[in-house]
Amino acid sequence: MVMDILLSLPFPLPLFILLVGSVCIPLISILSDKIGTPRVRSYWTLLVASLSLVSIFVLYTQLMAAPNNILVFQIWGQLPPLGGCFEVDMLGLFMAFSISFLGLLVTIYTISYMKSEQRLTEFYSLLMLVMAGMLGVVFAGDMLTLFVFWEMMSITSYILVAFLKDTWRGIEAGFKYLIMSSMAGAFILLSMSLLYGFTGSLNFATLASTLKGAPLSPWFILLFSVIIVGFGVKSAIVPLHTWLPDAYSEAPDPISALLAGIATETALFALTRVLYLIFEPSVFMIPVAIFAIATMSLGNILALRQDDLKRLLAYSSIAQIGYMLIGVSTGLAYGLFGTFLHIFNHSLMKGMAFLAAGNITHQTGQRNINNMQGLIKMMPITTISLIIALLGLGGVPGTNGFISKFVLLSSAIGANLPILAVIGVINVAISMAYYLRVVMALLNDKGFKNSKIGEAPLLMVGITSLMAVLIIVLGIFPNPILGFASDASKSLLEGLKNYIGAVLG
Amino acid sequence: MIETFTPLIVSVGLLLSIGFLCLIVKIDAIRLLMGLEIMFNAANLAFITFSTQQSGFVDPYAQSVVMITIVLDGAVIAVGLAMILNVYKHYKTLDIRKLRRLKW
Amino acid sequence: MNNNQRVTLNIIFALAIVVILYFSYLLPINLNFPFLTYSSITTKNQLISIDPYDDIAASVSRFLWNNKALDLINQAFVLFAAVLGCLSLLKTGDE
Repeated sequence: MVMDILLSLPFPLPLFILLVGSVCIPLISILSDKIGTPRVRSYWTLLVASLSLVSIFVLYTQLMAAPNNILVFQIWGQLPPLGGCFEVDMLGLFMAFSISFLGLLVTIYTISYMKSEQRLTEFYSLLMLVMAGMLGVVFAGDMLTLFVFWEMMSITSYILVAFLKDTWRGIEAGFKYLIMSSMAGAFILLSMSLLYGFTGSLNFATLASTLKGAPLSPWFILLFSVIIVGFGVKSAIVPLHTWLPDAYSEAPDPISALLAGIATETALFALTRVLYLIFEPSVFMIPVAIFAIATMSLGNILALRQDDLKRLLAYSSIAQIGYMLIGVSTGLAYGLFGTFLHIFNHSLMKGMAFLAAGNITHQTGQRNINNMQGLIKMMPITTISLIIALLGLGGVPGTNGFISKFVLLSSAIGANLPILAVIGVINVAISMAYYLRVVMALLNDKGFKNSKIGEAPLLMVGITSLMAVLIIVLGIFPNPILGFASDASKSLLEGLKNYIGAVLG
Repeated sequence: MIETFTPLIVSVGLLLSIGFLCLIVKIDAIRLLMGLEIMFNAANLAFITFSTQQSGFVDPYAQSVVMITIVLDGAVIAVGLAMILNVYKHYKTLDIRKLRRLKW
Repeated sequence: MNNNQRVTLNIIFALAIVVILYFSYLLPINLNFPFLTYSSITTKNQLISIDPYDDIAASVSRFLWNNKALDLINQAFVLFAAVLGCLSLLKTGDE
């Protein structure tokens, strides 16, 4: 009975749970402060995050029961060419699973990390809203719905980066991030107006059905460049990446993990979706390949001279986005399979690396690699988890990072772009240089001067070790996630007819 | 109404470049937010321009999109102003050339 | 007591201005004003017709809620997020 009401809503179920849950958090916090049990809001946040992960499976069963595996959500019978809609296919479900999974792990970490904080209500509510914004971006079926949820994701992430406002570091990073990212929002709006001028509606299905084979004219080149600038600032493509090292290293540690793990990749997903709906892959293969080469190279080279652990991980994120762009530029289903698999793997590995860095900062207060010598004696579980994450990011066989990097580099050869594979292998070698530098500093025998440092609190260590176990297990038995990712990539290329037919049908 | 297309689209381009120039050249933080607002208004004007190009009537769909995006842009500017208040509390000045303590 | 006296003086001034404006229709100012005696013939016509634009706000809101209800609800949540964020940036952190 309740399930029938919940399944006939105009929102997909995870999005509805996160939105309603985040609105209830201030009410619960006021009531619980009056009664005197201030831990109720932590339990409520945990409940909302875990319910959203469970509802992904409910949405999966709903999707399997729908014709052609595509669901369209609309409100009050407003038909798509004029009204906004959500359109869920396998690709949206895969990205939603990544977002909810990392969101749940970060929420559990936050409950133990931010115990002593004054504005905890606003923090939990904004965390739920940033996850809701990302879910709205991946579920959107209409360009205006994508823009509204893009602004929700952006506004909440500006505030969360600048959350610790008692020091100057977060405020400066948040201000620079706000200026650059809002400028990109104006460019996205300009691209929406050009698309409206060409076709007369903003729905993804109507755009794909009419714009797909159009001949190139100067207006289309302008549209392509505006789309790259608009979506590229948030997804850290190279001339537009300069906000990223400051924002990732000065944000609170759970927020760094969430942003680096999945928010940048959601922006890359939106770019992929829009490009594959409007243009033929042969149009954008060369420009996106040039951006991939530049992004990989700059990220890896600039990471070689970093001494701060979080800044090194931030530059390494830019390099990983470069690897994902290799997959986008191929235009094959195999290349896209590599990109989406790498998005999921990177969210686990980079998220866990930032959370382990948070453990180290919480216990020792150090962020400099040279001051972390011999940490393995005092914090063994965190150090081993961090070493597993760094080896996974470098692509060592046995971790899931190896599988996705292998697929990406071999798909570059399959698309007749062998130069991308050569530069990719060189970059993997350069990246192992700075990862191994961190590993050697952690395993050094010379010991810490102050050896009274204990292991981090139980929940924080538990989350990092759970993610390390998942990295190893998914490296040896990757079949469930491989099937999921290949369904997702097929639904973007070959499932386009079904996507159009579900709305215009 | 074909003959009003060229002046409006040229003014969209002019507003976009004026806003972008404002973001690059100005050194006061509030002027940066003004430049951002000018760029958002350029994109909204582009929507209005393309809505007049139907022959015979004006399409109300584009103007409803503009009504939604004006509200969203106002929210972004509000958050930016709250952040500028905090910048002033730490740096005692609004000169963005002083916001250079985070290097490399 | 100086502050209280200033406040009551201001209230008395405001009430006096309101009373004068209310009864100003008794003052005969517009006697023999030459309304529109110097206009030429072209500006005596009605340029734009006002009648079909009577309920412009109602027709705009009817169009928006008939065709874009989902986006209006999402916009409400975005505004909630912006308000909560500004509140968290501007709180001074004392209990």
